[in-house]
Amino acid sequence: MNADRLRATFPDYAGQLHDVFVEAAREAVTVPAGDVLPPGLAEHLPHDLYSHQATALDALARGEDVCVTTSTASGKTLVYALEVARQHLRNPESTALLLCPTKALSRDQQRALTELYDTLGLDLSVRVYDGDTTSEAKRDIRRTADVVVTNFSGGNAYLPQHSQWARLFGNCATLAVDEAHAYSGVHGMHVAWVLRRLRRVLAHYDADPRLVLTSATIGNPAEHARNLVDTDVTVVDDDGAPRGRREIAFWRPPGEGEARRSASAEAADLLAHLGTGGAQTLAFVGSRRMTELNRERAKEAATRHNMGRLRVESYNAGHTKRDRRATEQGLEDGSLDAVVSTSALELGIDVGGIEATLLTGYPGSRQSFWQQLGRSGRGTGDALSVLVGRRDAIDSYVFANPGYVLGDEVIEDAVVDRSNNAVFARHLLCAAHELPLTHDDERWFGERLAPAVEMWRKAGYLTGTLDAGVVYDRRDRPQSQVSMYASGGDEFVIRTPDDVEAELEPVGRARAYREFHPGAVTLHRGQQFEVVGFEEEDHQPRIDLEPVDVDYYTQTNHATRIGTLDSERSRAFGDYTLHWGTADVTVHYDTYTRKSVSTGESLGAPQPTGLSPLSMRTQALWLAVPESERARLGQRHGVDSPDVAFQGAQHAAEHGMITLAPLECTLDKSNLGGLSALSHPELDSPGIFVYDGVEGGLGFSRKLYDCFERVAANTRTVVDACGCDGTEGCPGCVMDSQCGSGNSPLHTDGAVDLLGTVLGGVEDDGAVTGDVTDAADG
Amino acid sequence: MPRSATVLVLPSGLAGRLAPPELADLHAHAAPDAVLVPQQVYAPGRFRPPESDVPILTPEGDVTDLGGIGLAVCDSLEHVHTLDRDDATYLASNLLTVETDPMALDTRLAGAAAYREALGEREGLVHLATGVPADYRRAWSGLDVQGVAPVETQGAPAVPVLSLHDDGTVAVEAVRTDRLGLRALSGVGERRATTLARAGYDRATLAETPAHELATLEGFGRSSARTAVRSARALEAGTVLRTGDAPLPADPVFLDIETDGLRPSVVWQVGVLHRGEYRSFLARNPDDAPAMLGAFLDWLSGSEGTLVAWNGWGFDFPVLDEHVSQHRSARGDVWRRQSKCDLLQWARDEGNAVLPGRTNELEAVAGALGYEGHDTGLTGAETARRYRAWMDGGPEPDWERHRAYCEDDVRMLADVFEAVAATDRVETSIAERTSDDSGDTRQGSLSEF
Repeated sequence: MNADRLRATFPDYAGQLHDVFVEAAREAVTVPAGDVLPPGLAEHLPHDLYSHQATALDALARGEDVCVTTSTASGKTLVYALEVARQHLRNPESTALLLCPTKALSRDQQRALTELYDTLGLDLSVRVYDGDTTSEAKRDIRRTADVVVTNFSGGNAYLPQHSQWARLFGNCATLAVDEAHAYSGVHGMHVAWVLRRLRRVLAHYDADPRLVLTSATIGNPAEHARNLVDTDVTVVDDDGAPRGRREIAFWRPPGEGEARRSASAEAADLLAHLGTGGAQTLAFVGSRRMTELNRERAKEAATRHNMGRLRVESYNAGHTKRDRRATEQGLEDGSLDAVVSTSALELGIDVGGIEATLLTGYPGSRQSFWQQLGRSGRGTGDALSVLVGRRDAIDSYVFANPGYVLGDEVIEDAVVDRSNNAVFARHLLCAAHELPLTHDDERWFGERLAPAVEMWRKAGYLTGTLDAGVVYDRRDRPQSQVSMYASGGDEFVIRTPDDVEAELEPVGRARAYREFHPGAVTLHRGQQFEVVGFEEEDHQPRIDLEPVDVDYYTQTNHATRIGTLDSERSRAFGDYTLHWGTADVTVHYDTYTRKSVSTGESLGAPQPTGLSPLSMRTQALWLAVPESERARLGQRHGVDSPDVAFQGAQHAAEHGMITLAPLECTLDKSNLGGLSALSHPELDSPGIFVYDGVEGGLGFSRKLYDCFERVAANTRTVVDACGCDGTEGCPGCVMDSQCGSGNSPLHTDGAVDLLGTVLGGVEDDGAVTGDVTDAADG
Repeated sequence: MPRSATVLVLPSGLAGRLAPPELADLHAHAAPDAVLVPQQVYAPGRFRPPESDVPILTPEGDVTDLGGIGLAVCDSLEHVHTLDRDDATYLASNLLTVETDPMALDTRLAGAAAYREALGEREGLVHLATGVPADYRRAWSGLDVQGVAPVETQGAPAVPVLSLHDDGTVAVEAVRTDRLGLRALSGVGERRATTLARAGYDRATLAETPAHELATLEGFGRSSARTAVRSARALEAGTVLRTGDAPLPADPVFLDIETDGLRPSVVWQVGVLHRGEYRSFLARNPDDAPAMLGAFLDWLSGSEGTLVAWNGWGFDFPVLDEHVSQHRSARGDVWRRQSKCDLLQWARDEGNAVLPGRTNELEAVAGALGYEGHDTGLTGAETARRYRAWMDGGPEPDWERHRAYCEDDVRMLADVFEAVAATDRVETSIAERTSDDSGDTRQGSLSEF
């Protein structure tokens, strides 16, 4: 299948094919294995090494730590696999630890490594050690394994039993972190601290393993690796792997403005067409809910067009591992024509040679874009990828500026913020539980060691002094208080009636409030469920689901308050001032709206959720807007109701900036929140606020503060260029389906004016003043 | 003879959640000299069984004399200020709380300034904070603060039973509310307890009931019925029931260790009892610990027998294992080759005996069997705290008292061992047992580690 054929055969073709880009095939650059590896290894390896593999292995041989950041399927695994083999030949007692982002990937890597060592004639035992491993097997692994594959939740949980790992830790010669780009945002913070705790325990056993990180292409591999492992690494990014020819089709659903067809409906038709036409296709969508919805839609489309039966499954992290394994197997053995997945299948799980990938909307980052694209056409076979454009600002930008994703521009930075004190302090407790803390541990925990120890000592969690050793002093295990995907502690378990076969994985508190409030309707493997129980006070918070059959889904509305602003940095833009610092944010998911599955229209008045507000202290940026601008923008854009027009301008600018923020750094937009205030009591003026949506912050608003000019300029361009009628915007520019105030008011012309004035403050009078710390007015 | 008083801390919210038999059970277990209720009380009967006249101490009035221990309860600064405190050792109030702000990396004693002012010059008091968990103790520049609020353990609140000593030492036993009344029985949680109560059973009648009678009740199978009845018999009679016939070590060497905490950086005392002879190995300074362990291993290499510890595999054995290998002791092999037995594991996990006692803590089991130790005024946590204070430059511990405490624990262990060994009545044959028999979810206090 290629783009031309797709255009010719697609049943409802009406000019959707917007653009086709061709990525040419590339020859491999190889190095003879014998140039890099000792004879005992090289002679058994049935192929040469790609140049990047050779470069990385050479660096490791020199005692350097490496981060390999090359394309999908370029053989990054082979780097640490061969390093482990080389260490094994040098010292048969040596061991290795491999950390993968998911359990599924751990098993995949175990298979790959075992096969390789078989080929090489090496007697190396590679074992997965995680929550699915029996305790008997665990004992055996600790006693006998050469390579242990686990994940970071496991790493967090197993560290206190390090004395049982003395053999593995003491002989550890290689520590590999697979798919390192996956560790950004809140999860990245936790991973960075678990890695410091792990390296600290390894050092206790006198081990100083070589570090190997593998990563998809990111903008800041050296910085990211340093953030994660606390060591300077050698970055290897000169890709020597070959690739096949790939066509990338930009596909614009038919219709204009509000009447334009939704990307997901269009993608379902494309999926049915490709899948039944013999091109096995993997479709990516943005949410778990959408995997279920589009699976049904694609089936229905296949029937509607008499295409025959479409063998399609959904795939997301909410499914049980057995279900996921079955779907992966179905892709690999060809018994499935199509799979609809979240980014869960984006990571390197081996599902064989898929012919086509379908991206339902730009996935939010160039790195994800290429990662998802790369799931089709492994090896040198030809491949097709289709990006179906959504009606939103970021997709509009990408369709208008394809060079942004396809060009050689720098990929987004991965953001790992270690300044979040709450997360740091949590991991410090774990470290004290693992080994007594002394002054030497500043090496791992920096200057915050002493104040954090003092805090926990006073709170009764730690005891002792840094001179003699600080130890954990409570009965519970601090590791169990670490939630690897949230900055707070509590996770909700999700229960379904005994006779319903559905297992959903736990969710964090914010997500529980947003998506699983009482009355919410959620879709899981084609079955609708309603939330009928929401118990938060119990020792184990839980959500109860009942199967239902209704023709609506639910959308949650929220109200936000922000205050106790503490500005740490600020810059002036003319009369506007941009601040970054900390703030108290209270989000109240107070009501929800039922929406028709078929039309998306609201059904009836919003219903109360009955939930209390969620409060957090987090990082935020805010733009203080002068009163004079309120008057000017209001009068210029709304003669009858100037304040409504002004508020619409602020609100639209806020939405636009949050939407386009992912162009600058790897972030999940749902981790950013925003608020526009007509008059904020602490600013004594209007203001636009953007905050990190987790307790303690994530570093996202900080990154936005640093690159504010670019984000503001992009936003102004996209809003200005959007073809929508009137000034209320559209989903293609400033409307946001998650808006807490129903996208009202919005004023696009006002936003363009406001952003232009802000940026003019830079260009015209050069009023950027640089960082001013501890600005008092906050 | 040091004086002490036993005080049960029972906030009214918690008291309201206890059924009358559970309240009676709690009092029978704790035998308190007084009940401290941190709120105003209108119906004292909610805090003690009908037949009891134990005093209920609430935030009003003066210092109460509990056999030489003076305790006052306040709920306002005014009350603190006007109280005649000359006879008080302990002052309980809700006026001090410990607040932690991880974002600011700061913990503060909220209310301290005003409290100090109201207190005036009076020193030497221990301040019992009713809003701070009972496992908390810390000196805040002159204010010695001991928490007395219920501690949450595995989701269930635990009622603090305080032993208040006249020198300011507070030993805390936390009695889990889900281990009272019928719920003290193995395998009986809230649901089964309700079922049993509705069917008219209490613990005493249950002990006399044939297990098959219960099997007809909702939520009970043959195995769970048998477990519950056996447990009731053991608890009511204060005896051990043998349920398996795995042999106990013929030549036991009873062992207990003292450390500086649950996750210890030092093992500073090892007590052993072998064939009636008690030996104590003590490291007054942490630097002496390797030599002390060496001396212990020397002694061990010369003695035959099997080391026996309570919850040994949950604490003593792995801790010694770690510390012996850490010090790279030449005697490491002696330790590794030594045969070891964890009496709690043997009984509970391997199904060889059902033990009496509300929890599987050694003190509780020994107490239920009628063993009366010497009240040294210490607990494992307190000895650890005092050793740490010494390491941090604080006062030198009373070594003799610590030695006596450790010896008491070891002898208590020996007594429990003897009681178990003397029980030859095997309730059931191995063949009868099912895997469900290990349904006891009770945990020894340290086995969570």
